Amino acid sequence: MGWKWGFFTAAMVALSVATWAAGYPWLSERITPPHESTSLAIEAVGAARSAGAGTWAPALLREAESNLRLSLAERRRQEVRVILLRNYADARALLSLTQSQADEATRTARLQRGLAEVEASSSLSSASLAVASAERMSRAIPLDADGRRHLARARSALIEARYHRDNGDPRRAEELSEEALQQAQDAVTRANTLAARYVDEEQIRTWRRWIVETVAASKKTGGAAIVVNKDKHLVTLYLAGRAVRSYRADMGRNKLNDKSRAGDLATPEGRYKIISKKGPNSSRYHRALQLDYPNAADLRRFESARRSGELKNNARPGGLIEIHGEGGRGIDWTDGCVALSNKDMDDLYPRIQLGTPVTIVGGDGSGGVFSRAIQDAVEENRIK
Amino acid sequence: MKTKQMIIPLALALVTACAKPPQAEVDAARAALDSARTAEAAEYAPESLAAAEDALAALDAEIQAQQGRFFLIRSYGEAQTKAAAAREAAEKAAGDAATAREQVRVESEGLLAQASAQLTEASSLLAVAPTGKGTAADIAALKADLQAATSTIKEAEQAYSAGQYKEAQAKATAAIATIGTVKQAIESARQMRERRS
Repeated sequence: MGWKWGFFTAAMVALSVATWAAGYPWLSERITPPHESTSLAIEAVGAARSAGAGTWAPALLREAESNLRLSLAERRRQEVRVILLRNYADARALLSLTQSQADEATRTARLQRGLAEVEASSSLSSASLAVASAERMSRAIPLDADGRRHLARARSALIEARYHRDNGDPRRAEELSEEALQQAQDAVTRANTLAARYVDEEQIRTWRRWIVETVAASKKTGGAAIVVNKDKHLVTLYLAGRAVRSYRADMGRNKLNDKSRAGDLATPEGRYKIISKKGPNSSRYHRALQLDYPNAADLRRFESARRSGELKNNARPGGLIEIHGEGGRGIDWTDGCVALSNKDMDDLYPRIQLGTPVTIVGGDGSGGVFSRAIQDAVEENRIK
Repeated sequence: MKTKQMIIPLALALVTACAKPPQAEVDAARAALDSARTAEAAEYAPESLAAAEDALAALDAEIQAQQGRFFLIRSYGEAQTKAAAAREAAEKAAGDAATAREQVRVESEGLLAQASAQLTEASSLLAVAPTGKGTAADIAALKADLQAATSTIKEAEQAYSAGQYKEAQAKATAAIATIGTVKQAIESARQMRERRS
């Protein structure tokens, strides 16, 4: 009898061992805490945060964080159960989902951030070019207070944009770049408005007519004539209708406008005559050829402007406009006169008689400082 | 017999007392996390804030786990430890944020002071800048630039007052650059004048 019981016991033990051996992998899967999955999920969420997913992929990060919390809660819930009742399957599934969501958040954040950086960089480049173009244009065409304000804000916004780009905020950098671009365009538009008369076809036709008539008169009389081109900063001497010499010249500081009153620092435009010649002893500016500004046409225009209220009642037309020396500086610095270098003045002075006609035009439509600046801006598509 | 009668209710009372979640500690941890968020930890100490949020999540998980157990075997000892850890992490996040914020504040304050000092200096230089025929300094234009810098400094001060220190830094930096350009232009004009005289 004894051996039967012995056999039965051994069989039962063997059966138990076999059952455990067969069931262990399944049971182990259920009751072993998911240590590795937990670490991987936590690392993945940390990586997503470090990649800036909080800013660049917030919804994805929130989902991953929420699932991480749920999975940790589920894991802990199982941990406190009796060992054979534990089942970490749900925790594992949630951790796996967390990891894939966090990885997706990392990828999306990197992509979005990269895109934002590229866009900010591109906006910054465009804004830099626009500001540089506006700066160039402002050197050629002096801006008024409004234009200066736009340009100053453009510069400032550009510096702020660079600061934010360097400090990891490409979105703000892009916003400020766009502001800089807009302000630079406004400055250029303002400059274009101020210098519009230099590309105005009707105005150019009038100036051309003046030049043609002046040259024709020189040809007819065989005498000298002077044409001053403000846009080109050139004084051209004609003898018997032929251009014999051109001189670089500086103009009035108010370089864009025609003279309308005393003290406006503008060089007058019109058809004048030399009424006085001053040698070194009688001119502060080496030598001088005084024009008959204001002539009858200037006075008519002046009175009309005063009557219409464009000029104040106490305004005066001004005078003492000369072609004189001490110039050739490459900047417009006079109070309205035309300034040549002393050497050029020495060359011009003896060839001119009292009564020699002097025609001062804004331009002739064939280029110059102001018209070229406008043309450049048009080509760069910055004029609205 | 009398002693036995007393021990049983006492043991039950102890078990029941120990089975309550550590609500005060949990509330303290939550309050500390709210303080960290108010201290702009999300902007100035994001990693510390994330660690504090994770610690609070672990605390929540522990409490949920214990609540899921049979009431007589619940144990909130671990929850208490986690609550303390969560509170500590939240306090650290608040501290880190305050430190980082203070650093940016001090930097922006320094830049603002520098911008104001440079503005005063440039205004004084502009007041005695060479004028009249022959100067390269376009006084009106430079004044406009200084006015623009003044506006930018005001904007920076407003941002500073509103606690937007990074914005204040950016604006102060821009103002300093603008003023530097004006000072350079005045200096060029002065040198030109000296060369001519």
